[in-house]
This record gives sequence, structure tokens and C-alpha cells, in this order.
Amino acid sequence: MSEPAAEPVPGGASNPVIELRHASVGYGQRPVVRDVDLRIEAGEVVALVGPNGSGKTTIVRAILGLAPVVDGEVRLFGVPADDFHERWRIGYVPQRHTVVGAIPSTVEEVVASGRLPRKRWYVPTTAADRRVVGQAIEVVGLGDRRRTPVATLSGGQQRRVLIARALAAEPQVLVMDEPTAGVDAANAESLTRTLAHLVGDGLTMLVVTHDVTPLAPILTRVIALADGRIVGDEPAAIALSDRSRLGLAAYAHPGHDPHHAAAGRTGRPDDPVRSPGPGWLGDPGLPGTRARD
Amino acid sequence: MEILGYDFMQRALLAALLVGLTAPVVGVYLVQRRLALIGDGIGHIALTGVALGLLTGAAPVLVALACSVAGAVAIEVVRARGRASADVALAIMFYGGIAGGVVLIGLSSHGTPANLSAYLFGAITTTTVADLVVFAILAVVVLTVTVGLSRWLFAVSNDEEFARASGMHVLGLNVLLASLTAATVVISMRIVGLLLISALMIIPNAVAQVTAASFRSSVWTAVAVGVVVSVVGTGVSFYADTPSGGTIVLLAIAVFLAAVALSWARSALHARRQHDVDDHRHEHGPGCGHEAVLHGDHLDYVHDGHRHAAHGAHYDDH
Repeated sequence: MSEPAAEPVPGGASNPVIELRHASVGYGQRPVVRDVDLRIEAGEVVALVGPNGSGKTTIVRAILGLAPVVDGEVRLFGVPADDFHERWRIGYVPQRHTVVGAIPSTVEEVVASGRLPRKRWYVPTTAADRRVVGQAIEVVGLGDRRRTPVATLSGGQQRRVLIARALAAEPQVLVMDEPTAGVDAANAESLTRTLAHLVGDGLTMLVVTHDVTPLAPILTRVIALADGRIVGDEPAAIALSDRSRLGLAAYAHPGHDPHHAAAGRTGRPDDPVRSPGPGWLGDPGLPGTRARD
Repeated sequence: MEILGYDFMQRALLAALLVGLTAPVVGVYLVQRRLALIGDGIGHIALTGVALGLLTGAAPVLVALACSVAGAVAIEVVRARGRASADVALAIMFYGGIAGGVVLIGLSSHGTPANLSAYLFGAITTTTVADLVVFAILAVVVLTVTVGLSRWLFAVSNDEEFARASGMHVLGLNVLLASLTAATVVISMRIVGLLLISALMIIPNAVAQVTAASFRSSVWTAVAVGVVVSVVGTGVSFYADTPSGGTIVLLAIAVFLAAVALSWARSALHARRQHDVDDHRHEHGPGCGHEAVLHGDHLDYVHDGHRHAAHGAHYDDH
């Protein structure tokens, strides 16, 4: 690891939004993830790469409180995960091609369910809630499909619905599991533009991925996992300029042109693509919309 | 109408109305979670409760309520705990509910085959005024809670993992939904019967699945179907002298089949006649790849062998 093991930082020079300290995660005798130290600072865009079974998704699930931490500690915004009750601050986009429910539901209905973490159960939905939900749908480019049943959308569009659902809580961190898996190159590129837009507005991201290529323009850091341990951790500019360093070439999406993956956009372009349109929840009239550390 | 002249039919029709209203509203979340058979299992467990009530001489409806709510909560806890063994554990609970019910009813002094059959499959003559009062109270409670918490029940049913990651009280909401299901089973026990009740929670929502375009409209569709088949089925059962539960459920299945046929016909027709902009994901324009043909005051675009002209939100075929 390039960083020293996590020591408490007196004076608050560093203030990680996500921190794993000697964390082991999993079930039974042999945890999937063993003794991992990881710090993610506000504003970082981190890719978590590694072969199947290396523990990428397990780390994410531990952060989200979905997998048991059997040893060590997970801290979120400086608070031990068990005592962290503002789960809305971490938006979750699961690894799933489709939205799951069996009853027809519109884009708006599914995205609105992502607003609930910000609500108390007895408080009715307000006009401000609807506006945030509408903006989240707008940001992912589904503004003209609010009333469309989700099941009739393409896989890439359904992925956008799940991203919008996570955004509806106005999170400060977005945790995504394989957002570009099963999405064709053109759609992955436009997804990256959407994400670049969110990064530009200050969102921190942790992305589990097999394929760093489509996300290359926005990544700031790449962490490689193998067999439940961190085996590489480098700034994206370095990791992406020499892909053999973290074995990244091995994770290129099979659907992508190999030349593109090997020799194409290495390193970060000077200017990440920004999509036009309204600033992400930049409406000053909404309380708490810009709340972040 | 002569049917309304009988006190027992008035009670039966009122009970049917309450069943038709509540069962689909609760069932929509079971279908959404793909747990359509859980309602069936709770019905099985409720049979033991009914039998206990008969045997002890206490009010069978209230004992059934207590028993099925306890069973429903147990089901949720079993589901939340284990993964591998939960399936078999649930099956054993369901069998145990039926077996216990049948044996206990056999032991009681009311244990005639006709009585058992009425509990299992519903009968229009059995609803008492006291039953009706309990049913009405339960229906109000179930509807109030379900509608009041609909946003949360939707979120948890739609994606339990996301709900958990967002910090929602998933287990609490699941136990609540199971309890609501149990209460609905009890409301249905006179008219529809414990073996058929889950049909009325599920089939109206299956109709909604093939006809509705949103969750909200699904609920309304399901409630409409539920009320109509319950009330009409009860009436048919009076005239045709058939068990009410079976009649209602067959009627619901008929509506479902009609809805499926209708949606097939509609989509076939829709595909032939008119393509929406929505379906095309494409606006015709210069260089769009489709041949443009001047047609009076506008351009038509040749597409799949016919010509399109933009007209508001859709294309007319010219």
C-alpha cells in the first residue's frame, strides 16, 4: 500500500468520508475480505478493481451495512458504522441490470422511493421532495420518461433509474457496483458524462468495476484487490497511464475494442466532459441541497 | 332485488365488499416482493387458530386473528434469519397449520365436514353480525396502515437491499406487512375461506400487472377487480348455490384471462397501427436514415414499409 496504515489524524488534516481499519468482512471462519485498510476522502472518485471473488463487492456491502464486519472497524464520516444513522449520506447503486419489483412502477415512483431515507414516516411528501426527485430524474437524462414503466426501459436506462433513486436522497457519497456492466460502449460513455457532472458538483464516488476504461475520465484513484486484500492503490493518472501496474488491462470489458482499452484514452483528459443542463441540485431555494463537508 | 331481502345475504355482501377492498391492497406488496405464496401459508396457519377457537368455545375469529398474526410474525423472522433452511421451515409451518386445524376441528363438537369445508372454502351463510363488526374494524385498521405507510411498503417491497442500505427499518416493515396479511386472512375467512384467500390477494394484482402502467394505477385496478369479483361472486354463489370462495376465485381468474387477452390484442393492434415517439426513441429529421417523402404540407419518413408523419407526440401513418 502506498499510504501508511490508518492512524488517527489529530488536527483533522485528513477527514475521510469512508474508512476501513483492519477490517475483515464476511461470514464464518474465512472472511472474504481480510485486514483491509482503506481511506476515501471527500471529493475522490475511486475505482475498486479486481477479479471475481476478490472482495470488491463485499467491501462495498460492508460500507453499506449489508455484510457483517467480523474484525476491525468501518467508519463513515468519522463515526463507527454501527452508530452511523444518516445512511442517506451514502447513496447506493446496486449491481443489477433491472429494477426488481413485479408490479409495474414508473420511473418517478421508483426514484421517489429513494427520497424516503430523508423523510420521517409520518411526514407527507412535499413539493420540495417532488422537485428533488424530478431533478434526480433530469440529471440522469430520463426527464422525458418520468411516467414510463421501468420494466419497459432498456438495461442502461434502468441503471440510470437506480442512479437517480440514489441521488434522490441528495447523498454526499455515491457507491456504485458495476455501473457499466452490460451497458454498451456508447451508453457507458454517456453514463460517465452524467457521473462527471455529479463529480463536478462535489460528489464523492466509490465504484466497483471490472472495466476502468469508460470511467477513466473521472477517476482520481484506482485500488486493486486480489483474494480479499488490497494489492495496489495509486492515483488514477499513474494507474491508467501504465495499465500493467495494477493489472488493469486484464479487466477491460470484453465488449470493448481491445485497442481502445490498451492504447486508447490513457490518463485523464484535461477537461472531463460535462453535460449541459441544470447544475445538480444547484437550486439555492432547497434546504440542505448543497450540504456537504 | 330479492337477494338483498335476506339478512344473511346483506351480511355476506358487506363482508365480501370488505374482503374485496382490503385483500388486493395488502396483496400488491406480496406480489411486488414475489412472495405470492406467503398469504397462502398464513391462511394455513390461521386454520389452526380457527380450530382452537372452536375447541375452546372462544370467538373463533379473534383466536384465528391472534394465531395467524403470531404465525405471520414467525414466518418473517424465519425468512430474515436463515437462507438455506428457511424454505423448508416455512413449508413445515404451513403443513402444521393445516394438519393442526383439521385435527382440532375434528375433535370439537362443531367438527362436521360441512363446517370444515366452510372454513376452508368459504360459505355465504356463515357470517354473523359479530363477525361483521370485527371484519369492519380490521378492514379500517388494515387500510389505514397500508395506505398511510404505502411509500415505505413500496420501497421495501421494491428493493429490500436498497431499503436496508438506506437505513430503513426493513424487518419492522416486513413484520408489519406480514401482520397486515394475517389480518386480511381473517377478514376473508367467512366468505372466501382460508385456503383460497391468497387468491384474492394475488389475482387482482395479476390483472394489474398486465394492464396498469404505474404502481398507483396497479393498486386502483386491483381494488376495482377485487371488489367486483367478491361482490358479484357472492351474488352468483347465492343464485347458483355454489361455495362462495371458489366462485369468487374462478371469477377473478376469468377476469385475469380476459385482461391477458385484451392486453395481447391491444399490443398487437398498437404495433400495427401507430408508433409513438416513445417506442421509436428516434425523431425523424434530415439525415436520420429514413427516406423522406414530401406529402402535401409536410414530410413523411418511410419506416418499416410505411410512412410516418410527426403529429404532436406521435406519428401518424400515411
